[in-house]
Amino acid sequence: MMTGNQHPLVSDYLDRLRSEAHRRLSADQADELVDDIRGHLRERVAEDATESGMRNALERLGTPSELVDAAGGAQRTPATDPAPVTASNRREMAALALLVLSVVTAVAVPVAGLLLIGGLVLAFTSTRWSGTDKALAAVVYTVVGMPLLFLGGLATFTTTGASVCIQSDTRAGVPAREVCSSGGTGAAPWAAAVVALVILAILAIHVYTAVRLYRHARVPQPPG
Amino acid sequence: MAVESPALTQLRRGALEHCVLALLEGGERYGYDLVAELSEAGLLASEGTIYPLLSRLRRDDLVATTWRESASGPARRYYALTVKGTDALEAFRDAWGQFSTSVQQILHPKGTS
Repeated sequence: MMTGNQHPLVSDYLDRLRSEAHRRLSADQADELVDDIRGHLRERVAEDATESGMRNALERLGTPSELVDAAGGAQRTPATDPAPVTASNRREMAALALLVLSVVTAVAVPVAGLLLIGGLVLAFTSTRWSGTDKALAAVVYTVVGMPLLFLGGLATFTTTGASVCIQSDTRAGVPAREVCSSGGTGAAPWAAAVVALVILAILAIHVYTAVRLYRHARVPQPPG
Repeated sequence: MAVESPALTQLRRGALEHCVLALLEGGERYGYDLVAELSEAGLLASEGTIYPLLSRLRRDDLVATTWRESASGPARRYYALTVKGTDALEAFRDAWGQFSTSVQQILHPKGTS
């Protein structure tokens, strides 16, 4: 933006405000506050661009902590705030992206495995997600997720195999049993329906989990 | 600056919110414009705190915002009173009238030394 021709005093103030706001407010609220203050200072500088004018303007604004307090920011408690690494919810978003991708790419097992592990590591170091969120992510993306999807893929494969064998059967006039035994066994319509239902249920669980994790990553961090 | 009592801080905060609504009654204004006027009136301890207040008013649907180009520079966020905001202002006007009269009578009783 206008960062290039900002006075060092102003950019330093905005930097401190940005980091404090992102630590204690939701990302949206923090961005809005920083935008508003930047706009205010821009107007102010247009009126009086002297060094003393700028110092005065910053003094009258209040300290970054005061502004974040006024915005209802969570209180900083140094004891329970060891690493201000998660200034934003970027970690959670990355975790979620990796976890969801691990399911999408479940057919290519090694890739999915790497994505899964990466996603889980990020998820478990999150400060925004609760223990329940993390447990849910672990269970859904490992136990509920891939093995069943893999089975689902297998079932689809055998069903297709069966339909192919029936086609070849009618065309070539070869005894059905003989041909179908090489294709799919247990590919009855009801089995396909059960598999479809299971896959739908899994999808529903995945959508629920992803939406829940996403929403929790956007909620401002609780005080303390 | 002397440290303000928490009671006075609360009082200022509640009154300030409605002063903002009252200023918007005359038409939409942008943030810096509001700050200048409230600061002039001595209602702002620190000027920056008006912005969190404005964004809270917006989240509570008491004001609505629009971006408008300014002749001199980048776009400004303008604030306007909503119907809900107008109602809240009216309610506060009534309450404030009664409240300030009562407090005044207790603080400065007539006929006593």
